[in-house]
Amino acid sequence: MSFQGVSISWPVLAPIVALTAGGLLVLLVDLASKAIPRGVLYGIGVASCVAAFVTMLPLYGQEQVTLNGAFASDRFSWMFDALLLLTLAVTLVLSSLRKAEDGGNAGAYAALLIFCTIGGFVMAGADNLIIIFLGIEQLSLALYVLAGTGFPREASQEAALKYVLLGSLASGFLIFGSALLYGASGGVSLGAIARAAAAPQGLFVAGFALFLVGLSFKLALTPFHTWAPDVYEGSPLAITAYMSVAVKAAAFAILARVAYTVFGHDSVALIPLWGVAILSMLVGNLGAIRQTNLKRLLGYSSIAQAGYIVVALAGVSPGGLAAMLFYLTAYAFTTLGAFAVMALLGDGSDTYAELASYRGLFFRRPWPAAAMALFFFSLAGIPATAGFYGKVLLLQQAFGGGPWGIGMAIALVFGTLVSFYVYGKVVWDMYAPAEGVAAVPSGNALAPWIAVVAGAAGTLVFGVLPQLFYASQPFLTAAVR
Amino acid sequence: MPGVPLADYLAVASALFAVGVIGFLLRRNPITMLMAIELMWNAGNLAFAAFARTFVDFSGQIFVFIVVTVAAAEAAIALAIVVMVFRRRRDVDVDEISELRG
Repeated sequence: MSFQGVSISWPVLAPIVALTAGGLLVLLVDLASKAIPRGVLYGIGVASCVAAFVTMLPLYGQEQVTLNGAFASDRFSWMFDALLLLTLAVTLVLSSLRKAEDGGNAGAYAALLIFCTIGGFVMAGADNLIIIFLGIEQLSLALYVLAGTGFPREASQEAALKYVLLGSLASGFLIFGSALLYGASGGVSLGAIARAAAAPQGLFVAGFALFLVGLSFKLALTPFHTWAPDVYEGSPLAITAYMSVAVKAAAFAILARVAYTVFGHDSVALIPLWGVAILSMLVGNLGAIRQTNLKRLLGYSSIAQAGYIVVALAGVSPGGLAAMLFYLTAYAFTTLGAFAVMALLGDGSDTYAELASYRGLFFRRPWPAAAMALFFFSLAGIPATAGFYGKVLLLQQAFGGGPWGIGMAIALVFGTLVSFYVYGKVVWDMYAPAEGVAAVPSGNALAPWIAVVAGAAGTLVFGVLPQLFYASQPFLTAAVR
Repeated sequence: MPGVPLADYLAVASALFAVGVIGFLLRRNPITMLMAIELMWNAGNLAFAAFARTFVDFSGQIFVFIVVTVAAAEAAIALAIVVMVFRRRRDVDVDEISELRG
């Protein structure tokens, strides 16, 4: 170990540099004049997404590890990076819609979202404990603030407070767990930890358990999920959408990389994770039944979805990564689409999230109602939607995972049946004739339509033609060394 | 401190961590809860520094520096949020802040 000779490969870091430059540019432009329209600031944000994506293209085919083995750039991280960029772009588009979303501080808001995504990039490539911690904190710190940007509403303040308290608690577990893992392995790289995992001692087991607790908090897996419905309901709509997709994806990138590089096979140390996944699937779906607020319902739904995604890791087999990425991609298109419909219909008030105001939506706004039905069918896993094939892939993995895999498969099927009722009820309500119901506020802007159409296209294409994705499976199965 | 064995450092770190967790669970004032969280973070720091000393390895020390830096940023954000809530409610007991439930 020496301080000299830090190897830096700039092309690998180019996407992060592009995003950083974009974020700083947004801040500077915002500072330059108060007369700058909000759309310009969000436009710069979306442009920096495109720039970051373009800088990723030359990396294709050149997997490498830079920063002295701390930061990996491989197929696995590229997939997550692309997913994060998609989510960032959609979130920026949805946020640009109205002032209530960003509390009037468009510049700071857009810049924070971009910096948040940089944290996600760091997480996707993190190959040692220090970088994992840095990435998680960069993502979280920006999100604590963003959760509170709807601050004229009291619920948004409450969401920010709960998020920062529980998020920092989770980081506490993560740090102490990392310290014990370091003590057990003598190094912070995942490679060193993998060597210690070969002959685990008490220190390693305790450290890994605490590390998993911290990560489960961030992923909102039961029993560490209690903050999620509150934070999802209170945060501004676009931020809720971002949390439920980008934060999950980035945290799963860490979980998968740790599972594959440290264990590389189904290990006893991962059993608590399987238990937590089963609980999440049950609690997430059963908890969603009695919700009357759509944002909160999607919050419970995201707890269940996180449980489903863990199933992909059941056998820690190469196909598991492909299954996980397929499900995450399907989930991203579906969830972003559902939130885009809500943004489309909303008028900045809180009532648009009340389920009651969606009753009879079909007769007033047939197209948004149809899109919403499609997204909810996909979340439930009805055939011909992306969610269905995602669940088929997950079940395949579950059956390769021994007795715990079978247990997770049962929980997955049971959870799916419950979710048919949860999502079916919402769709039923939208198509039932309604009398004496307060009409849903009916915004109709172009920006959310783009996101709705993109979400619907993704949900259908991945649902009807999943072989497009299967074709890339050999590419993905070798994703993590 | 050449005479202090690693186990003693770990005992103190574990005790700090436990105090932090218990404090977080028992206290209802967000500022006190943040102090409890700070204890947990520093318990991790102590363990990292102790291990780094034992291994004669810098990476543990670097982790400590990074945690300390992030903790400062985190405290700034958390306190700002507490102040924002306080200005609205004149009251920061987390049991009272429960508009969101269910």
